Amino acid sequence: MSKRRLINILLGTGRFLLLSLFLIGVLAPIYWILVTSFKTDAEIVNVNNITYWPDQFTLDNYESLFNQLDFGIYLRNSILLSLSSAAIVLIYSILGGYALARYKFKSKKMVIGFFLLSQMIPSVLLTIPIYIIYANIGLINSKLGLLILYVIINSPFCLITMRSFFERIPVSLEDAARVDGCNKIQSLWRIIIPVLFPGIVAVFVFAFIGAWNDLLMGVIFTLSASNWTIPVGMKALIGKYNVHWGELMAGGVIALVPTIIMFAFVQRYIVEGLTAGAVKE
Amino acid sequence: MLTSTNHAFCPGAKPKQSNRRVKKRMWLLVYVTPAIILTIIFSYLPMFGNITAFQDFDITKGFLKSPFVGFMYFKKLFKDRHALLVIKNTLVLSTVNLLFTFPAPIILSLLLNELKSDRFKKTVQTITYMPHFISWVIVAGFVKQMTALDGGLINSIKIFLFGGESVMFLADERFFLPIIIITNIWKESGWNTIIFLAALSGVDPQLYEAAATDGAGRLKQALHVTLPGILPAIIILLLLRTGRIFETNFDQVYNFINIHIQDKVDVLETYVYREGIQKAKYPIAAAAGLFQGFFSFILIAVTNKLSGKFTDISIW
Repeated sequence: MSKRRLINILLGTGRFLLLSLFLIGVLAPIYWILVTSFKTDAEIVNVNNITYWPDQFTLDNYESLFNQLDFGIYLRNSILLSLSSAAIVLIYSILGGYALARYKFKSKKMVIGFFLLSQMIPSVLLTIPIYIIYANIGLINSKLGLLILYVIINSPFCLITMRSFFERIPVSLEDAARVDGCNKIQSLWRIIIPVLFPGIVAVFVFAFIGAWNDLLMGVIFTLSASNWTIPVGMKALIGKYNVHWGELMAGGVIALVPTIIMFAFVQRYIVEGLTAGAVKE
Repeated sequence: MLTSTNHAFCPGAKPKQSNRRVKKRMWLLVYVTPAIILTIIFSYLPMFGNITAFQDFDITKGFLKSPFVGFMYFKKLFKDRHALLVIKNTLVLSTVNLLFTFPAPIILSLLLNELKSDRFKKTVQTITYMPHFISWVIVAGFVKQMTALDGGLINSIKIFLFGGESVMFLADERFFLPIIIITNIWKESGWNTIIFLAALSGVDPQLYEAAATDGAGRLKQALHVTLPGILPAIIILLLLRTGRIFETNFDQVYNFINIHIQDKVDVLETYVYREGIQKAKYPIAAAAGLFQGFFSFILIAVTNKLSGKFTDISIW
């Protein structure tokens, strides 16, 4: 018995150590981006003395990012495109998700399959034709063109996720509200929206981050720096022969901040939303 | 009560009401149409644009009026040594990637599942989910910085441990696959545990008790209760991933490819981007895309069939 106990303790410790190691491995690069972005160039490239905390704390990297490079424009574009595409996707998903959850029609399965299947088309099959179409109707190198693509890319998944959230709200809840004297609008605001809140948050964040992180569409469909988003600008920075590491890391921090904040607030809703969709059916 | 008495006296009331309800619900269809229309226009219709693969495409003439040339561009593609290398690279990359990255979330979720402390478990989960939401371009940024010759952390560690010179990891094609795999494990393992943890929570606790009374230790329980419990989830995900073996992640590969290694590690996605978009050779790029799409479709159909056979779960 005591031998088994010893084994259990050893197993437990090993497990703990393995997980801690993985945790450190996940966090280390993020820490490194943050710390490096506050170092001076001279400190970053000093091979003989790697520092784990800035010797000389500086904001120069951020300053030159905005003053010498066009990061202000990229940031504005990214915020604009991500917010607006996420808002549109959210409206789509609420409307479509409600319809697919509540209205029973014969071809419902087909409609859902239609959205799921569109997610499986390899992106390579779409880029060339869409590029040619865009070139013909003048949507290359325009924010509107990118906005449409972000809505398209993110809406099927969000719509189906939203549907599974609607399906969790029993119709009887709405009926009960009506019996208690709520009109349609009141029942929407007081009953449906609060219950649906996790779904709304999850879908919005998914759509936002999907657009915020996109590189493929940005690289293909924008030409001039005035239309670039942060990932495209970052990619250009990385590709430079003479990279200023501090600037690059500062750019990384700026790109990271919204995602991490959003993630911290909503991660439990997102997981809930995902598993709600996965467990259903 | 009130409504039922109403029915008794006024038999026409009920059908009228349900009729109205149907009419009202028809409106719900309108809600989903914008999404359907946009998906048709931008996801389904463009696929027909791949007809350029069979055309001597002229952008001023468009899809409809460009002359057809049959399979000329496909023949060209399969005679091109670089294109063949690209196809081989794509398969090698995604197979090796699958082999190494697939077990990681399973191991991680088994470790997490055995944890007794809920707080530690929550912390690990939250933190390891995070990288999934970080853009590949940022990953590429810090990998490039950490492997830099001038003050890169990894090179310093390498020199400290093994001595010798600094290595240009990103400019050496031998390190390309390992970098892809490691960054993938870093970014997605945590996130991919979600589905396995959900499967694990579905395992009946009584099975563990039964196993314990039969004298099975924790290791044996994991082997004989936990693993069979999540096997269906493992099989489905493995099949789904196998169905996509002709695809790689553009955002990831594109970020780690550079001039030094491009000729050796190029994959279909980056090839189509470079030939099609940058060099405007639409037909050959479309031919490569169609080739990939065709085999992807067959693979997905086959794996879906297999999944339906083994686990009763299939997409269609």
